[in-house]
Amino acid sequence: MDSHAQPSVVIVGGGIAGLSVAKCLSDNGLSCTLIERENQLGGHVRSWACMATDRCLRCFCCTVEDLIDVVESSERVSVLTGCELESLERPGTNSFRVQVRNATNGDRQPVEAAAVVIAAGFTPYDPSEKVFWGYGVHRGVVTLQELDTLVRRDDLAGFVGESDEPLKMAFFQCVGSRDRSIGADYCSQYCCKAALRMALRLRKDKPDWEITIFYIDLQVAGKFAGSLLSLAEEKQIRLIQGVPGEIVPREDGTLEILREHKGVNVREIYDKIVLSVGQHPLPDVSRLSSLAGLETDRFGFLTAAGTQDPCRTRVDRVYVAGTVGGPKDIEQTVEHAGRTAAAVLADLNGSERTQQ
Amino acid sequence: MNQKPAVSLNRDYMPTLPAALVIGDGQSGLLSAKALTDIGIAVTMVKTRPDGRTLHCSAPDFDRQGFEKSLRSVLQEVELVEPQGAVSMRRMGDDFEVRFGARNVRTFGCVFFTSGADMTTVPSDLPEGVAAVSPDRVPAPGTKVAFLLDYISPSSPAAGLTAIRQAIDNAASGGASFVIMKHAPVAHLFGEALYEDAKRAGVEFYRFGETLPTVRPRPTDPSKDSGMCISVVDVVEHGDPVTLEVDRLFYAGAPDASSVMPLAKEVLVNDVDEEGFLLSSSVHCHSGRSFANGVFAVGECTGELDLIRTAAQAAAAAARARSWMVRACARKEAEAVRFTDACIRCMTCLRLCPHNAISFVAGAGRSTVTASAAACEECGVCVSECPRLVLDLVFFPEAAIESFVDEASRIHGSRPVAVYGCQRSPGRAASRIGLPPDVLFLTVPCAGRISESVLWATMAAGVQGILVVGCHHGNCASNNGTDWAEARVTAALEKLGVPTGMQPPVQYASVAANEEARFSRIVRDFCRAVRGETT
Ligand code: SF4
Ligand code: SF4
Ligand code: SF4
Ligand code: SF4
Repeated sequence: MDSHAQPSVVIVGGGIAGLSVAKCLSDNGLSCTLIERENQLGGHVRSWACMATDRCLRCFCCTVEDLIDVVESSERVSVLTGCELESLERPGTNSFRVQVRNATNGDRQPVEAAAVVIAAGFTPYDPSEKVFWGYGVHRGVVTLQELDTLVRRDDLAGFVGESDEPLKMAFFQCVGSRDRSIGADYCSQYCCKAALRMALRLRKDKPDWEITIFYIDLQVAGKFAGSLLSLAEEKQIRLIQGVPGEIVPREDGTLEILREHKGVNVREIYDKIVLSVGQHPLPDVSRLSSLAGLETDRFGFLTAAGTQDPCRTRVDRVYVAGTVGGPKDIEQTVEHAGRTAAAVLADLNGSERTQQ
Repeated sequence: MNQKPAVSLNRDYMPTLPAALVIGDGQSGLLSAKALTDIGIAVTMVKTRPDGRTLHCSAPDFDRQGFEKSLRSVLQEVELVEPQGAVSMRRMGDDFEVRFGARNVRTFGCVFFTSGADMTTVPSDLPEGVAAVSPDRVPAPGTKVAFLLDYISPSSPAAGLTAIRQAIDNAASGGASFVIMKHAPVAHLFGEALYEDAKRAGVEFYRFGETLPTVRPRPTDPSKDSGMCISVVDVVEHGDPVTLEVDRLFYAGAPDASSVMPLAKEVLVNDVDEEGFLLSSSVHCHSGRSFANGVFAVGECTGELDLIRTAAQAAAAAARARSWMVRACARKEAEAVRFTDACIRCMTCLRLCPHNAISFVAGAGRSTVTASAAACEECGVCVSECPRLVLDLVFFPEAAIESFVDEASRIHGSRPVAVYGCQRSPGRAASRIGLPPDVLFLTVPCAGRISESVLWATMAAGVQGILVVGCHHGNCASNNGTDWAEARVTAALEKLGVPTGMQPPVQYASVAANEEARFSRIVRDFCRAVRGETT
């Protein structure tokens, strides 16, 4: 029996955005095919940690588990993991023929689609090129994602050691974001909140650590996010304006930084420094965009139809969802994906009046 | 688009979906109505006020006039109601019974709250003459204007971006612009570029820290103009206070929660956050979704001022509303909670249900209490709190717990530890790790199902200890199921009277679904502690 005989919506990417679209469409009675490159669903979020202290801090990570369960058990969603979009043809105005290729065995499978949603996600910035911070060189410098994975495994000791000595840890914000020199003059929008949550999460277990966040401007607005700032102040997280320009390793393995304070340079020593890396476009975003007939913006994110219609694209029945169209936190991603699903429903329902 | 739709949404389902009620005819209401009609749902809209408040949007490609025109066109497709008298509503099975005044009673499949929250409130300690930033109120060209952000509490980024946009425009018109803030608002794809543009345009930024700026009317002629003097200590320059004298000061703030419609707060009891906005600070209540199934909230009343995000909220909520109504149709005949005749109609269940699933049906002979199978999420809070014990969950009946307790008592010789965990968090975490053989784990739909009587029955079975595990507070899919579980553990311990310093035999813990490693540690530590083993 060919389960793909009836036209479905093809969703490229099984991270939080793709899963949200699949859930929303299948809940509304549509069949979907979800294509994920990795061997399991969930995307980046799958390896991130819970940031709850004495209550949930609304990082939204665990909601991916709900989505995976719903999507995997839905009769209407067929999930193709370990697979990539290979080609996209358009035999009729409102139909697509999508060729899906299994990355392991090379098998190809055609899928008939009535609409295509690109929800392929982002790539975390690799800070190695910023040699002055020494990522990949100094052992004490890690990215926020790497720290997340350690917390997820309940294995902070693997990183900081078993010693009970209080540690000094710093977060550097806007790493690979708001940075014109690398063509990334945009805010990644999730990292301030993520660093504040991580600081609070660490504080729960490590009341005597000295935790500092060096920032340019904290972006903490939004529901509940605003209270992260007052929580941080209450829990004695140091918040310091200005991100130090250099990390110098010392012989004992600690890290030295210089920061300006009231016009003079102050030297500070840290045990660990966490780089809050931003969201960058996927390395193969141009392949995706040319397959789908889309364009990318000056940063490399897929271009949507515009501010008033941020989920449709210039190609009829091709949509974007989530961070492939620009940086977002999880809450915004779910919201954007919900809007994408609504746009697909509207167009397929035929009741859509042309926008603008 | 005149072709036959390639996929018919209604292929498998129901004849027609019921209509939606949108309360509020401001921009958020219009956005909601448009999102609903776009996906084929009929809309009735309630007029709540004559003026439409304007949402913020500073995106460079945004065409406000075109947007407003297309938004107003939706009015031709909705039924507009001007209620005579107060609006009230209650759940009636899967639907909502809404009264517009005394005579007019209607039924809707879902309800959107979009009305309310004043966006133009200025803190009372700022002098008269300070105006709220609004997309509709552009400073007089060529004047000296300042914008104050993050005063007392963080500004809404949408209002902050409008301030920066207006500061640029004012500078371009030959005026002087100052932005006084704690943090530059840049959280939009275009935000950083806008900020850079402002610096290039000559807008001066002042960044304050602990010391709040002070504002007083300009001494020259306070009766005649709205000029202000602002003193600010810049944390980057670390100098003495700078005093700026301007013709006009605009304040970029946040909406005022006290103006949220009382009816909305009444219907969404579980979904009012610490500040008084709709949709609680739970992880499950976002994108317009509330715990009360079938009820949604969009826009300013949720604390959102950003047009792009409100539009996304409206569209996402509309898609969810549609699937809620699809579910309600599919589950018309289903039963999720079983009521027996012993019900005394005390309304405890109706009051406590986190999902607003229970309705009271007044009948000629005997009135009844029933639960909507579509709205019920099987949390079991009602089952555990009913004083007459007349309720039971259909898919997770009392018998399931009884047989678990029987199992525990059969092997009580080995002094097992019983762990009750909800399916959502500990249940998923447990599925990824192996639990020790002397730990008996029962997955329950929600920790809220674990009543005190379940705890006593389990203790009577001779277990060494009971661990009740729910989601973290604020993460429970039924809002307060996990809080109920903790409260019952505390109540049981009080009755047991465990001496201080002794390990209590019953303990509550919370985990997330992705905390399998931590969950395993919690179970291990509890087993050790109740068995008196040292770590
Ligand atoms: S902090 Fe994040 S992962 Fe933890 S319970 Fe809350 S949303 Fe889930
Ligand atoms: S969210 Fe914060 S850390 Fe991330 S890019 Fe924006 S300002 Fe920088
Ligand atoms: S709590 Fe029990 S007795 Fe009271 S109304 Fe509900 S079912 Fe009836
Ligand atoms: S089980 Fe929970 S959701 Fe269902 S009716 Fe009872 S309290 Fe409401």
